[in-house]
Amino acid sequence: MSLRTTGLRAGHGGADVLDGVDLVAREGEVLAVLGPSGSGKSTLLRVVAGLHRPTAGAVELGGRDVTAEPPERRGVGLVPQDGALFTHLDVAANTAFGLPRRDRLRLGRRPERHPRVAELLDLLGLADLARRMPHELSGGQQQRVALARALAPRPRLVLLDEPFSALDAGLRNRVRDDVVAALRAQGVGALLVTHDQDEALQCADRVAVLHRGRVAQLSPPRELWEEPADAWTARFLGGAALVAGVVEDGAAVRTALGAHPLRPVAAAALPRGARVEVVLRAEQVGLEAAPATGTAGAPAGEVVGVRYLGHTAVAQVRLDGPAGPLVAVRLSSVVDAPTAGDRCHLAVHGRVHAVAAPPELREGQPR
Amino acid sequence: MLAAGGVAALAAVPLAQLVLAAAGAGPARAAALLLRPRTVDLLTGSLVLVLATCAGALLLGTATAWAVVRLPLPAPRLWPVLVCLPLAVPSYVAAFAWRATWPQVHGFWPLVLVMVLTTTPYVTVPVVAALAQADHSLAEVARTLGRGRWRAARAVVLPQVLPAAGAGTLLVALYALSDFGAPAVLRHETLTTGVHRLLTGGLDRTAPAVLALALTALALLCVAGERWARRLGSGRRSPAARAAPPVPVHRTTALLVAFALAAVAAASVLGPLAALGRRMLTSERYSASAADLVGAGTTTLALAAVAATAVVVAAVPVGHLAARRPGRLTAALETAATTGHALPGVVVALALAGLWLAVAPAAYQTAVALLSAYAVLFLPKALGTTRTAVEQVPVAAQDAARALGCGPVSAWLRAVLPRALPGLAAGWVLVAAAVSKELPATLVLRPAGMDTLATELWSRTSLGAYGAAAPVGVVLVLVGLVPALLLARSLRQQLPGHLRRAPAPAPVAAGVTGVAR
Repeated sequence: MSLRTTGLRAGHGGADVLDGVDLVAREGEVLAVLGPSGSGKSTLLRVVAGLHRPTAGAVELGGRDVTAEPPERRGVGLVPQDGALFTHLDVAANTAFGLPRRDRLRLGRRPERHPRVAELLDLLGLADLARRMPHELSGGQQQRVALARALAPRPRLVLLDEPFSALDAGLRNRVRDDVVAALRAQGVGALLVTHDQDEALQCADRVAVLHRGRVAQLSPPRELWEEPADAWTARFLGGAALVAGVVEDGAAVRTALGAHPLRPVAAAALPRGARVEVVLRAEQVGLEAAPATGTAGAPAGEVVGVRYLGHTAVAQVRLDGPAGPLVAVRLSSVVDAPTAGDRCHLAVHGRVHAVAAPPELREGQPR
Repeated sequence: MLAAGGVAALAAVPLAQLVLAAAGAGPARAAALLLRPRTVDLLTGSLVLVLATCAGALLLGTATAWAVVRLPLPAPRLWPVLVCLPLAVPSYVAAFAWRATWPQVHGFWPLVLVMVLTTTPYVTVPVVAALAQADHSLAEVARTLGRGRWRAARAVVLPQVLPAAGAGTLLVALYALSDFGAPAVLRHETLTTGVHRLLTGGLDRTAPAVLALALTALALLCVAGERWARRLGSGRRSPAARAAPPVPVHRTTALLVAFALAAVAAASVLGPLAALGRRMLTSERYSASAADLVGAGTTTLALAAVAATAVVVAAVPVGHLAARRPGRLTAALETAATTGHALPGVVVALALAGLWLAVAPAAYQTAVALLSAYAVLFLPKALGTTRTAVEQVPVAAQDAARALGCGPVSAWLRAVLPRALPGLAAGWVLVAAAVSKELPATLVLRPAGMDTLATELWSRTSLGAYGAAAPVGVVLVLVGLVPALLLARSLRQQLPGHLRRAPAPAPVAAGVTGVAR
């Protein structure tokens, strides 16, 4: 069931938290809504669910305007942040909660016999826990039950509100994979609200980046990563340095590190002579130890710090010169990693992406 | 929202009625009524009673609380329960018990003694909670900054405890101001007994209304002060507060203090019970009254059940609103709904008598009028528990139910009610117990010939039939035990481990883990 929001505005008394959200989720796709805290992503989810009334705009589900419909008539499933299981009901009864009253009454105290309940408990690996109470479950199990409960009435769309944020890191990946697999097995589309970039990029078909109550970009993960729409999005996704540059002839851009070919999207969008910020992904930049004398022409700088990420490491290098930009470099090996204070040369590989420089930001700040 | 507004408006009606009735007197007559010597006497009677009771309860309550929390008393888990028990004895039952034992004892000082003994828990309980939750690390920091033990306590512990003690003392003041039974039994004239006398004595409705309004003004002062003090005390708790270690005193000292505490508890609870028991055994007349006792008991039970159910149902919309949509309007509705907390029973009786006579004279002195008074008086008791009960159910559960196809009412019934039920039940029990013990409003508004346990005790006492009244008193104390024990339970949940659980074999446990590491 496709979802479309047009010009959604909503707030909590004061200024609008949603400032005109236009969003399309295709049938059956997992769409991540990614944004920092306060960007309005949870409000967006509550508006789609019908739990929060928008001040303007419309919500369409499957081509039908449901803006005025109460939540119980929208047919969307909801998986709240901490699961919010009904603590007075066991796993099977929680799962059966949204089934028609007729079915619930017929099954009485054995809701796990309902074919839909049994199917979902099976799908989520909960079959053995049917008679457990919520407080007897681990956090990951609770989230699975919350999803089973949301899926039981065959919703047209499932809304997940940061469902994995309360789980510890090791568990998070597994529960996340299981949940996405279950969504795909049921062929149900989902809106996954998250502030975790990796989570959005890993499990969504497309990602909508929410910034100050608007959709800054709506793209598949790879496109989002490689070609962020603006400087804010590039910084928010992280893993890159933004370096000031000027667009030259021949789809190229010049920065303090030299001239680099532009990716086609950026080349098409940016006119010659435009002041831009070049998105230098850490994995695009190579580092070589500089001889003490230095080689004229090659951009040189000083290592200011190295962050170890286990099997790899990222070095921060400040280029020479007044207001030399900081550039992040992913080191292919930690064995010969430089240390702070080392001199080095930098080289940029491949085509680069660039975004128009915001007027107040002429210099890149790496994240 | 609408339902909550309706409930709040109805709860505030008696106060409005009272103001209107008093305004009917006109300023000149009102002033004359207020300034005549009799009124001044009554006012003085009320004020000295309030002051003496407050002073006694503040001293006794604070000292008791400090001893319970900070001294290494024997049987540490017993004391937090014991300090709540005096609440089980309604002041008029205690007064009656003393009177039944020494019929010649009456007047101001015996009354103050009775009032102090029954109201001290209002101070002890919040101060125990505040002391137990006071952050001892603050005192330790003060010590490292160069203050001695007492100066550190004065600078750091006192501000953490004072609001609680102040709020508790103002509750005592409200109780002493509103109480009708004990002053009447021990023959001390106050504004409350004065209003009752005027109300039952004559047809003039204006004079009691003016007096009642003065009484209400004083009561509202107490309530406003209490809310202010409680606000001062809230929000000061540090998240990682450390409990203070017991004050090192000699074992004999601890035993002596424990003995003193036990003596106070005995005087407030066992004393009246023993007196009642003695009367029961020595009287020949009580067997004849068994049928009356059963009848009054049944009536009381029925009234309590109906009133408690109605009050809890009425409390749900307001409590729900308070839990889910806090804001200025909600706070105003809540305040209106808690009007009854500030109104003495006599005043509510007066206002509702006037109201029913004006609106539906047929309902005056029927069970309906009586139940309306109970609802106004005890709605506040159910509001707090209802609000907490609803607050404990996360909004997300309600949202999830909505998304699963429940309408707003159905979502509340299926997702909130099952989990709020214990809290609602607690509110029901509190209201039922309060209704069972209520005296002044029942005296005025009950239908002719209807007797509750409280009025039964009252009428027998007035006739001097102490022996016949004694079993009623015992039953009333047993009823009172229920809210007292509920309070003790909630107090225990706020206490540090050594006052809650059995004194763990700490050294052994520490030794074991030490070896394991």
